[in-house]
Order: sequence, then C-alpha cells, then structure tokens
Amino acid sequence: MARMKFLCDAERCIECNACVTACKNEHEIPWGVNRRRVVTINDGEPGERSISVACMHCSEAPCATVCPVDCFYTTNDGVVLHDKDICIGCGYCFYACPFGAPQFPETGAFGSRGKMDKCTFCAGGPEQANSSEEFRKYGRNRMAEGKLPLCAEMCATKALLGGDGDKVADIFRERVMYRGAGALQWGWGVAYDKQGVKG
Amino acid sequence: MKLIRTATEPVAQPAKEASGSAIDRRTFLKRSGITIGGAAAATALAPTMMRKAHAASIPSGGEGTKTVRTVCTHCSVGCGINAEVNNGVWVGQEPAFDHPFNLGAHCAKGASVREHGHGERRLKYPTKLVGGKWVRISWEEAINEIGDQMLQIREQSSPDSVYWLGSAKFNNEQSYLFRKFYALWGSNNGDHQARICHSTTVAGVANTWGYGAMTNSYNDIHNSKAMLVIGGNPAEAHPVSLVHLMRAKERNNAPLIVIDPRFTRTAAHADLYLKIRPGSDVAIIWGMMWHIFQNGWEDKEFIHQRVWGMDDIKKEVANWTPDVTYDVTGVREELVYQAAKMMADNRPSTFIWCMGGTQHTIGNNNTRAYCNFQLALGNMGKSGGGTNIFRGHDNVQGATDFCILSHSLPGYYGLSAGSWKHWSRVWDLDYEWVKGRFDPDSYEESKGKPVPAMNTKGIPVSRWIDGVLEDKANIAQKDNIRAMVMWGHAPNSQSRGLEQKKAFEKLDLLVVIDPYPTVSAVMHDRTDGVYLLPAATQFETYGSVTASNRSLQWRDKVIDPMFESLPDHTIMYKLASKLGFGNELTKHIKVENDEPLIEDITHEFNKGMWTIGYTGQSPERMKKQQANWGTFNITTLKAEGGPCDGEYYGLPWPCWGTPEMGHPGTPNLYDPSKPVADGGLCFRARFGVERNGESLLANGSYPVGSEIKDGYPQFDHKLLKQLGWWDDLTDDEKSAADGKNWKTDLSGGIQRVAIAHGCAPFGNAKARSVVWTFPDPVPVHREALYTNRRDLVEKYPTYEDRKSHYRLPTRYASIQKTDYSKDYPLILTSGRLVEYEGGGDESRANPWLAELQQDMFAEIHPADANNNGIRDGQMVWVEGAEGAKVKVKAMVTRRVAPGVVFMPFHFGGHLEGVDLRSKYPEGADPYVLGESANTAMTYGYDSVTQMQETKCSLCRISVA
Amino acid sequence: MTNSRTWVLGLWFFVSVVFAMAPLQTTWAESEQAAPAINNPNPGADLWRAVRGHLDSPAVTQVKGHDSAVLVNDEGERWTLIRVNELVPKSRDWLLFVILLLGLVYMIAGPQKLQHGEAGVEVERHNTTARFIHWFLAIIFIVLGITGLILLLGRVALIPLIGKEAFGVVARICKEVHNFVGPLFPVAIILVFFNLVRGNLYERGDIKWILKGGGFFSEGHVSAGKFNPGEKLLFWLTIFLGIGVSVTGYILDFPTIAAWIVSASPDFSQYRHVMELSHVLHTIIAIVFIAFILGHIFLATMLVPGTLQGMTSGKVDANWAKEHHDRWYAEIREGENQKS
Repeated sequence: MARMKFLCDAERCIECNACVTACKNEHEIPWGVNRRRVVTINDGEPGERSISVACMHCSEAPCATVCPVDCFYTTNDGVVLHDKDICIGCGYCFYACPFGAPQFPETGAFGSRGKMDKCTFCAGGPEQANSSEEFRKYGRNRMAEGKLPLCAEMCATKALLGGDGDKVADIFRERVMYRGAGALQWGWGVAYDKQGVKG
Repeated sequence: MKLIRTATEPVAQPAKEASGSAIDRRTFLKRSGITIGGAAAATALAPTMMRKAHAASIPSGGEGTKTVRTVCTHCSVGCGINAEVNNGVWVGQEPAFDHPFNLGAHCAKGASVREHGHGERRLKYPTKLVGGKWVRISWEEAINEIGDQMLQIREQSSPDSVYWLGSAKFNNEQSYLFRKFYALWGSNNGDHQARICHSTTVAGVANTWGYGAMTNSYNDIHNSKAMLVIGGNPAEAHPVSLVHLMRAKERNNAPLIVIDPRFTRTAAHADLYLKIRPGSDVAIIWGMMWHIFQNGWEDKEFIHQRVWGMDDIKKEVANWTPDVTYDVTGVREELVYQAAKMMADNRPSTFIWCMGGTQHTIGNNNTRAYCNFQLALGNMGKSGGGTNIFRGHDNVQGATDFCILSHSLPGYYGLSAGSWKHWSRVWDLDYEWVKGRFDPDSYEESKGKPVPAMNTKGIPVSRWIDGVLEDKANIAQKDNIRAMVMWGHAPNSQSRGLEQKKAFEKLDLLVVIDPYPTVSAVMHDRTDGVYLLPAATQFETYGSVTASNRSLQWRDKVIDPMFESLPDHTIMYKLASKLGFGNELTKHIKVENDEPLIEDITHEFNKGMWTIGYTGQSPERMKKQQANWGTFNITTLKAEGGPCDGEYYGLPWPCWGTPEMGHPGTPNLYDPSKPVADGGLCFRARFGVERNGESLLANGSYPVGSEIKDGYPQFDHKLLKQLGWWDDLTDDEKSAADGKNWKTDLSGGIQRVAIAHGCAPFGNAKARSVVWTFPDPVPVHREALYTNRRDLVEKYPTYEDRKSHYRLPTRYASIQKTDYSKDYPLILTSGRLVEYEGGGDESRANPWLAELQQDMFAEIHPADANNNGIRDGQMVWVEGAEGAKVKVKAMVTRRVAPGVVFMPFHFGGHLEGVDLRSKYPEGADPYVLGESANTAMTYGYDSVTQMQETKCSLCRISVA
Repeated sequence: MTNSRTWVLGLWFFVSVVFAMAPLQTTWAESEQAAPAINNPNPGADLWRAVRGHLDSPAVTQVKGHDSAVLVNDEGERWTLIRVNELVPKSRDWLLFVILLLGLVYMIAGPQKLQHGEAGVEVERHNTTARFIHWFLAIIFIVLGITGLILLLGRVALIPLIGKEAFGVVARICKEVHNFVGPLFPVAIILVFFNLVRGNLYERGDIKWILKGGGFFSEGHVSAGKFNPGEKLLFWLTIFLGIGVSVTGYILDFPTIAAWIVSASPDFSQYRHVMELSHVLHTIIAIVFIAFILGHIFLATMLVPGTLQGMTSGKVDANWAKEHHDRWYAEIREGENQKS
C-alpha cells in the first residue's frame, strides 16, 4: 500500500511561493486562505533556509485526535481528509496541528471561523470524485485522475516532493548522496514517526 | 520528475456527467468577489463581464477538454505550460514535465498564469479621458482620434515628436512588426524595456566578442563546475533557473558564489557570499582578477589564441590590490581570494549576471569587466562556462533582437544607409520612399558631416521625459516629444518619477496600449488627451518567443482575447492603416479582419535577419519542435531521435541560413569543439582584421571541421571568390549574393557555403578586451553620480557632461561634484520580488499573487532603523537625493548592509503618500497598490547606452 | 444528620477535585521534556532548532495571519495530549464520580426533613429581583454547561449513539449556542455579585459554623445567618470561577479581542498558545464549576426539601428558616416586629 507523503528539501527551497499559487490555482482558493505557505528562517542571514509547509498528512494526525466531531479520516493512501459537512469550525485542529495547516475562511467574533479548509493532498473529500460538489468544498481531486499534488509537481527547484513515501525517500536519498550532506527531511519526524504523537 | 502514484486500488474515474463539473468563469468571479474581502482588496469589484460567460459549467478534465502547449509570459526562462481549455475557458493548468527548460517546474508567477483567463482587473474597452473622467469609446473612434492627432503633430513638428514605446511582452512577430511600424512612420524614436534592462550587457558583450546575448543556456549550467552570480537574484527573478543551478551544485559539487550588496534568496544557497558596496562591480572583478594574475591562474593558451588586449586589462588590474579592493568594495581579501580561486580551480565555471550589474552609469564597464574575467579564465566557448546573462521579460531577448530600440534596425543592423537599404529590400519597399517618411533635416554631425534624422539614434526610453521637458534647442531633433505611445510599458520601472509625472502632463497626447491600465493611466493629473486601448495578452494570441538562451519557442493561443481587447499586431495594423502606411507595413503579409497573419510575419523576418541567424527558424520548424518538446535532452538541448533529431531545442540563434538548410541552431556561442554546421562557432570578426598593427583574427583556434585552420575575416562575395568556393553557390544564389556579404545576401548562399566548408559566416577573430570605441576602452571603476564615498570621487571620478548623447544633453560631473551625502547619507538600491514582474500591473492584478505581497516596503538594516527611530512594520518616508519621496513600510532586516536601503520596484498606484486608486478606470485597478520605488530614484545614465542608474543612489529615511 | 453536613461534603468534594487535577501539572511538565526530538543528528541541527522556534531567528512568510511564520507548533502537541488524555477522560470520570457521590449521599442522608415539620407560615427569602437574577444566571449556566459538555464529551458519548452526521449537526448547534450565549455569562455574574454580595460577607458565628462542620456530623443545627458559610463559599466560587470561565471564554470566543482591547500591548496576542492555554483553563474551571453547581442543585432540590421554593415562589416555610438560618429568621422577625 502506497503511503503518500510530502517532503520539502530545505537545501533546495528558494521561497518562490510557486507551491502557494499552484495550490490557489488548482483549487481556486479564496483570498485569505492558504493551504500551503513557505516559511523562511534566519531570514537575511547566513543559514537562511526556506521550507514549504502544508498539511503533512500525519500518521497519527493530531487534528483527527482532537476534533470534537471526529470529522477527519485517513484514506488508504495515508492522506488525511475531513468532511466539511460535519466540521463545526471550532478551530481545535488549528491548535493541535504542528504545522499550522488548518485554515479558516474568517476570524470573526463569536468564534465564527467557517468550515475548516486544508490541504487535501489534491485528493478531494468524501464527495463523489471530481463532482462539482467536491470541487466546491475541497478543490480538485487530482489523485482520482492519477495525478499528484500540483504544488509538488510545479515546484521550481523540485524541493517539494509529494507522492509515494518510498519513492520520495528514494529521490531524496539519491540527492543527499550527491550532496554528501546529512538528511534534512523536514518534518518527517513529527509527521510520520510513531513516537511523534503519543496517546 | 513525475512521481508515479502506486495505489493498489483502481484509480477512481472522473465523473463523466455534465454536472461533474468544476467551475465556470462566472461562478469563479462571483466567489472570488465575495471572498476577497481583505482590506487590500476591498474596493471596486469589477462591473459586469463584457463577454458572455459560458452558461454551462465546465468539466475540469472531462470530455471536450483540450491541452494547449504554450509558454509562460513572465520571465526569460521560457517555461512550457500545458493549458487545459474547455469550450473557450481555461479550466486547468498542468505541469509540462517533458519541457526541456522547466521540466514542469514553475515559480509563483508561472504557477498562477491561468488567472489570465479569468482576471477581471483588466482594461476592458477603449477608454479616453474627458474632463477628468474615463469614457468608453469604440475602437474606430479611438483609432481615428488618435491617428488624426498624430498626423497633426507630424505635420506641425516632425515624425520624431511621436514616441513609440514598445514592449518586451510582444512576441517576435509583433516585435518585428512594431519595429517596422515606427520605421515606416519615419522616426527612430522608438524603444522598449531592454534599454533599462540589459542594454549595457548587449553593448558591452557584443563589442567584446560579437553577439550581445547569453552565450550558453540555463540547461548548460548542468555542466558547470563552479557558478558565480553577480548583481542577480535568480531565486526571485528567474526561480526555475535554480533547478539547473541546483543540479550543478549537487551533481558536480559546483560551488555557488554570489556577489551582491544584498543577502538575497540566491545568496542563501551560496557556498560563498561577497557583500559588496553598491556600484563597485568593476572593483570586485578586478580585485578577483588581481589574484588570478598574481597566481598565474589565467588560461594563457586561450588568451594567446582568442583574446586581444588582455595586457591592457592586466595593467589596470594591477592597481586593484587587496587593500584598494577592500577600500572600494568593502570585501575582505580572503573572500575575494577564495572566490577567484573557486572559479579558477573548478573550470569550466560559469558567470551569471543581471540588473545589479547593468543598471549603472558605468553599466557597460561592468559587463565588459565580467566578460574579461571569463576570457582570462578561458571559460568562453565552453560547455559549462560562458557568460550566462539572464534576461528579464519573456521575450526581451526577441524584442532586443528585433531592435525595438532607438539605435538599430532588426538584427542589430544599425541605422546606416546600407542597413536601411537592406531592410527596404526585405520589405520590398522603395528605399527612397522609406527615406521620405523621415524628417529630412540633420541635427547631429559625425566627422564634420551632418547626419540626417533617419541615421541618428533616437531618444531612448530612459530619457523620454527629457525629450518632453528639455528645451528643444538642446535636443537633436526638430521639436520636443509631443505624443507618447506606451505600448506595453510600465512607467514605474523608470527612475525620476516626479519628472515623469511632469512630462506626462506636458504631452499633447498620451496613448496607453496594454491589457492593464498601468500606472501611466493614473500617475499624472491630466484631465484630457489620454487614450487607453485594451491589448490582448500573449495567451490570447500566438507566435514565437525567444528565451534568454536564444531559443525560439512557438507559443500557442490558449483563449480568445477577453473583453474588447485586440492582439497587438491587429492594433498595429489598424493604426498603420489610419496613419497611411498599412499597405506598406503588410505588403507581403496576409491580413484577415485587420489581423496580420503571424506565420507570414515570421517568414518575412526569416528573410532579413541574417546577422544573428533568425533565418532558419520558420514557423513550421518551430511548431514541429513544440509538438515534440519531450524529445530533447535536458542538458544538451539536442533532440535524440524523433522528428527533430539532431536539432537543438528552440533552434537557438544563430540558426544559420534558410530553414531548408536545416541548421540545428547554436546551443553555446563561440564553442569551437563542434562543427559550425552542428552549432559550433568562434568569436565574431566584427571589429576589423587588425588594430595597431596587430591581427585581430584568431590565432590557431577554429571550429572543428573548419577548412581554414586559422582566423579569417567575415564572409562576403569577394572572400568566397578568393577561396575558390564561389562556384559552390547555385546560379540563383550567385545572382543574389554578388556584391553582398553574409549579412545582406538574401539567398543565404554565402552562409550556406561558408558553413559547408566548416567556417563561421561571421569570420573567426579574437575577442577584444579593449573596446576602443567606448568612453572607457579598458573598463574602469567610476563612482556613482550620487555617492557617499566622497573620498573616492577624486580617484574614480565620473565622466564629463555630454552635449548630445542619443539626441540629449547628458549630465555626469556636474551632478557628482555636489556632495549630497550629508543630507542623504544612505545608499538606495532596488530590485525584484518573485511574486511580481516589471511594473507589476499584471501581477498585482492577479489575486493569487497579490495576496502574497500586499505592502510596498523598504529593507533597512537594524542599525539604520535604530539611528532613525524606526521599528519594523512602521510606515517610513524614503526620500531620494533629488527630493522625491515615497511612503513605505519599514522591513528591518539584515538582508541589507548598514547604510543601504533596498526597495522592490514593482509597486505603483501611490505617489508621495497619496493613494491613486480612485483614478483608475472602474474595476481595472490592481488588487495591490503601493509607492513606486523609482519615484525616489535619481538621475544617472550609462555612457554608452543611456541605461538608467537604479542600483546606486542616495536617500534618507524618517518615520512617516 | 443535618443539612449543614451536606455543605461540608461539598467542601470536601472541592478539595478532591483540586487534588484530582494535580496529575495534570505533572503531565504538562512531562510533555515539555518529552517534546519529540528529531533523532538523527545532522549538520542542520541548528536549523531544526530554529524551525521549532528554539533559536532567536527571524522567521518570515508571505502568507499573512497569526502564527503563519511558525513552522512547528510545539504547544499544539502538548495541548493535544492534555485534551485527549486528561481533559476528556478526567472530565467524564469526575462528573460521573460526582453524580455517583451525590447519589450516595442521598442514599445515606436521604431527604433531610424539617425536625418540626412545616409551620405552614411562610416568610420571604428572595425578592423578585434576586430570583430573576438567579434564574438568569442559572439558565445561561445550564445552557452553557450542557452545550459545553456535549462539545467536550460528545465524541466519546454521543457519536457511538447517533453517528457522526447527526452529531455534527448537534455539535454545530451547540457550538453556535455556546458562542452566542457565552458572552452573557459575565453579565449575569456581575448582577449576582451586586445583588448578593452583602449577604455573603463574613459574619460573626461563621467560624463557629465552619468549626462545627456545619452541623453535618453533629446533632442539631449550627447557628447561621441568611447565608451560611457553605452558601457563601458557593457564592464566592461562582464569582471567581465565573470570572475565570468568562475571561478564558472571551479569549476563545473573540479571536481578535486582544488586538482590539490591548492593541498597545504587542506582548499579548491571541496566538495559538494563548488559545490553547485558555481552552485548558476554561475546561478545568468549567468542570469544577459544573461539579459545584451539581452539588448546589442536589442540595437545593433533593437533599434539603423546601429550599428550592425560596427561589421559585420566593417564600420559605418559617420552620425551614428557623432551622437552617436562625439568625436571619430572628432578624426578619425583628424587622416585622419593628414594622408593626
């Protein structure tokens, strides 16, 4: 069984934000919601590195653990999705998520946030694959078309890899071999290590 | 590298029924209208769509969806795009994994181009300003009114009083047609962005070894063993190029050296970073070369065979001891040494530069210093080496090659009578008729003889404001510029904003032809005499486009022009017809519904562009390559098998001879390791055969397979006859070639025969380190006009003022002699952001991009911020040394050095703290507005090309 | 058995609850030590420390929003563990425990009848204003309590019964009701405070009442005023727990309130860790509060008959007053005498 994973190679990421706009493009995400973002640390100083981050589709997803209405589910490919019909917009998943993935269309008084929106690994949601209903709620379902997430497919420097975890790891390992440097799989420890989240 | 999904379950089939749809354009607009509620985007939702939206919703990837192969319209990398179109709506964008340049990769801009098919913030119909209000008019009214006023100005003043400012956003065919258009209008007053982008590169590089373009290619960087980037930030300006640099970095362990005043996103990935003082490029290069010569690292054999004048360079370099270099550049000796050693130890090493090097008063010195560095190391004409000059716009290379410039005809033929005759023959027009279109008077002299207007360089875009504002007695033409046509140009990319505003206001007529209103529509206080004409984007037409590496790609039309916009070449034809030369413009070009046929234009320029080999790229060959772009090797760019077997991708120019000759294109310039017939070359014999009694021809170096085993001059009918190769020509070729040379023989026979004998048509010479025709034959450092290192002014003074340089008086010493540094202590520099491009009107109107850069800002070092009481995120005034100021957000960061302030130049729509949003035509204002950095930028122009100085000026900052 | 004894029982229960929460403290500390480390040592170690915000490194992103420049949200995991391992199961267990305990008390102590039966004469205990305020608070409390408990425990308690879809609807309603009614709670608390604060100050004799354990373990009643110290404890708990639950609630309910109220103070912004801490405190306080109020309801309705009517009709039997609040009864008698 293929296990879908994201990997961002910080040695390659140049903070061009292609992944962000590719996502906006593919899913027609409105202004203010960003399923993916690029964060730069040590900005402007030697050691500056950028990392593209979105939902990492964790093995034991904290969002799913804390959701009061249990609206998350994990597909056979290891993709963590949620059901917007059940979601109540409480924001707990945002508190729990290590990666700041859950997005809410509004931040209003009386806790109004709207339904949570997040990266779907371009795998849509519980609706019929590629139905207009699914597109409206979750965006395009590339996985159902046999394609991989557009952010990774369009990454300018191929820093962001997304796909079968084994293949992603192979590509990365090959790169590290050429590079002769240590492994820098950003976020894998947190997202995919069993010990990452206890309980 | 596309990862294959290996699900064990069968992949779900996309829903087939019509309701299984994604989204139609109207729903999209409605939704984005509702959700774009951010403060930045709060105003002015666009009015109703002018075109009928499709009633039915559009299936995403379902039936009826066709994939169109097109090319990104942002930068010069030339990324391929697979656009999915259904029923006229651009429904999807898929990565083109098999495209040889980008392998499916995109930057933020490229990944969001589909928005072009949906964007509302466009100029929607011809509009004119009446009493301070925008009024919609018809195309006919617009063309008639504009044409009448232009003809009147032509009558009253001269054709030179109308300025034709073209665009690097034109495709090649439009570029060529536009150049021909203002030639037939009868003026050299036409120009485009290349003037303020890489003009100093083109001039400096072409005068060193023949051609002024990127010598190798992005893909060829795979072969580099070391890379040096100076004055460039490809991680933001050409992000996809980094995929090639990264490959060299990882596969070859090639060190990346970045030299820049700013710690850029590119510098973040550098192995060695040298933070120089802005404007000290020549100094740092000579400082590195000091170590090279000191240690004997230069390639002596290469210099002996292929370089003339290196000894003079050596003499100048000897002055740049580590101490002097440190004093001028601020870089410590060991870093300079390391950089030089890395480049010398890891050959072939490549050298990359961009606007940080070119946009200076000594831009041409900078570019020639770079060339000399590569010549000294023997890196030229080698795969993995070369000067990889990253051009800016998607077709700035093409537009430059077609010379939408004020100083040349297409193909860099110049403006001499012979050049005009050559092109008149290509156009099949009577030379005397063409001549009669111009102002017959002379305003300049050369060697004591008057030079008529037709043969004098026009006013460059960087100085059009002076063409309007300067006393006409001081201008080398009959009258001031009275009408301005801004055809795809953002005024906020030009310095001296407030004077530009004045110039806009003084004009009789202002015509803006663009898909977007641009800042030209709002930055002035005119109430009348402004016309805005909606042009189609390049996704709404088709044609060829030249990437930075000289490759021509065929770009297909994705959607029909939106709203009432028309393709540029249609507008050109309409206007030419009104102005009375429509038939001459399209004498051999089919016109249908006022639209000249693109393929016919390509065929026409194929017949005339012999100098730089734009002759072999017929539309048929380009289309074949487009259909088979997956068959090209991603490192060599050579097709391996398939219909294009043996050709290089994009038939990179020079693609010699006629299309029928089948030249594969030249992947790397001046590379003698291949036969000329397979893309090999030598340096061009452009500067005569001898100088001061020394031969300028190559010494024992020649392309593989050459029958002449030494240097030789350029080919003409005489040389062919001397060599006994004349009879290799066919009879038809002979009659066309007699009395002609390789540049003017319209049959291509001279080129064909030269290549058949393994020779380069343009001769085989040495590169020249010393350009004796330039103000500084040996490149030297000169302080910027506005400098705070007053102690260096005496030692490295700028030029004397010049009376007529491109028709205009140009100031140097008279500015530098005043010390502004007490009032304006900080250095001001500018640059790019990845999300925006150029003046930014297009990208700031794209919500997917605009959301990521909502505020114009200035980067200020913590020390300067503290000295001025500025906190991060606060609004500050940045005041340029000429008194113009901009109100921007402070970004306190160590990206810049203490004493340096950086601003991105893409913003516009605010002027000295005033928001001009209300002045835009309704619904056509970009989502994000901001102060234009260039408002505060000051005077200063290159001594050869009139390139504007935007990288090194002075300013002061204060809390707003 | 006297009804004072029930109050002592209540006090003991409070201590137990506090005690029960103690393990939480340990968990909080433990999880700090156990923050998951990325194990393979690598040259970018500093980078990963920076990622987790453990280095003083400027992080930036072009995406606007709270916390968008934070790459790894360490507190999130701690909060997740607290919520999943502590708050949910412990709340459930303690509420069940309280209910069982109260049931036990009821079985042992039964309804505490008046020693001398009803007098048949009623005296006014709470006027209309007081009763209105009480029920205003009570209704809000019950609504918030129920909706809050459903949100907290629904996933374990209700989804197995009614399924996710139906529970989604219920939870959605609960969330909206909780969020819209919640802001009224401090209003009710303030009203209660001003209405009842005078009767709930310390009086002479209170200490004796406390020393005697409210008479719960002794025969005969201990002398008390209008409110005995047990009730006073409830009052002050209501006030303080009310403030706590309100402050944390407002932070949760109005994600931009900090910026709005204290825009001058950049140190306090409603970033995730503030929301997480607020959530934990809100839950703990609310559970303690609910436990007490359960006790209060139990006492007033089941254990001590005759108490509830003081809040419904406003009048209590004279004998009830005499037995439970003898000093107050004496006062009103005196007042009546003076009037007549």
